[in-house]
Amino acid sequence: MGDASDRRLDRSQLLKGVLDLATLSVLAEEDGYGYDVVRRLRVHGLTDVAEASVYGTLRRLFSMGVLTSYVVPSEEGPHRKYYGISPTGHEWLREQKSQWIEFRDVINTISETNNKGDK
Amino acid sequence: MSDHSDHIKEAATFAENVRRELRSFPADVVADLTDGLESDIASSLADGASLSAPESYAHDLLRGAGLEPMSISEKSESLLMQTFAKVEPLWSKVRDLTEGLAPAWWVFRAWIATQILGAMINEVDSSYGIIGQWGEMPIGAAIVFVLFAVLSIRVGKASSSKWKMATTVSHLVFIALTFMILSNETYPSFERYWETHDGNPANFSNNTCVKTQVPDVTKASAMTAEAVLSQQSLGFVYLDQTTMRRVDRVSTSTEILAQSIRMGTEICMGQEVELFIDDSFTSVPGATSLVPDGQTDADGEMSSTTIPVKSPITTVPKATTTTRP
Repeated sequence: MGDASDRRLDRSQLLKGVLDLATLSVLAEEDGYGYDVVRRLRVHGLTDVAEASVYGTLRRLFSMGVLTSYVVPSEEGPHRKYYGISPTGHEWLREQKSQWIEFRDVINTISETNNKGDK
Repeated sequence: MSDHSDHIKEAATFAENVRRELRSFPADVVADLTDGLESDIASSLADGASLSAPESYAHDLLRGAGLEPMSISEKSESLLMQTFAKVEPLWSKVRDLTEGLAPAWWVFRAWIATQILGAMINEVDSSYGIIGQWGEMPIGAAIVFVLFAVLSIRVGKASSSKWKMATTVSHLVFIALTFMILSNETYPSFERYWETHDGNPANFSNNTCVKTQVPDVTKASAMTAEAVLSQQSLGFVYLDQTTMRRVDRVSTSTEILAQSIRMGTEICMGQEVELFIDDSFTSVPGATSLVPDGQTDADGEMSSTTIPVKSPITTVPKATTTTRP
């Protein structure tokens, strides 16, 4: 039969596929440093996102030219590395959003069909 | 304020541990992945978050960056590759340099071969090692050297595996022969030492000698002086104190006025001591010499004043014998 945890969707796997989109989305609002992005994702509901995964994603997106980066020195501690979305990143974001909406609609349609069958 | 500094310290330590977990990756990748990590971790700690293990943190970082964490074997392989990548440029430089010096090496090994051959066919002079073994045959050495040089250059330029094998074998033979010749000449064995010197300390070369102290023979008669000196295995020669000429025939009672080497001086057995006499008073009828090998004539004069050394070690008054290898 399996317990309740087996019956849940694997959020980490779901998140893995959409973390780029989520990260780009929060940075489209405003530039931010690594933990700032994590905090905003959590505020939006992705409470179980792993910090290090976000930091790795930021580095990868930067190396792909989707993000820009700059360093802000700190008087009280180590410097902060800020990220912002590049023009290429905006194009990426548009494409990924449309893909996500398309994918979400497909899943909704499938799950709705299944709901009708249940009735 | 103290919490903030504590968070910064803790974040720095944790970031360092994460970097250590990533050490199998190239340094620039690690630097890129962890740049600014301290401030992010410190902010997380300030928010009350607890940190996971550095290993799982590093894995999350890698996966987020699209890199797969390495297995232990992959890490080892990566470390090997990194080491090779560091050493390879240096090795290439050395190889380029040695390739440039190859012609010089070909000539040099021909010279070595010439010297080895010289050492094998000529009488070996130990003071020169394997060098200079053709001292009395410079033309022969030149001919042999030219022949060897031609052969060496031809072998050096050849690229076939057969010649390469021949080169390797000849190098090994060179090394073996050089070692044998050098070890034979530089460190003569004990057996060879005695074989060369007939076991007689009196015949020792300058390198080794048995020391003895010079006795005092001044004021003594020639007969006594000869006896004492021969017992100490020392030779002697008479000189006229006025003319400083050698005196071959001396009466046994002639008084020794002085000696060239002072009493108590340590010298090698077999060395000669010059004995000064007044040649105008040497004729003493009836005197005889105690030296067995010396021949006396009817006038009691010795026919030879240089006495061959007899027994190597004897004890006489005022003289001691020490041995130095």
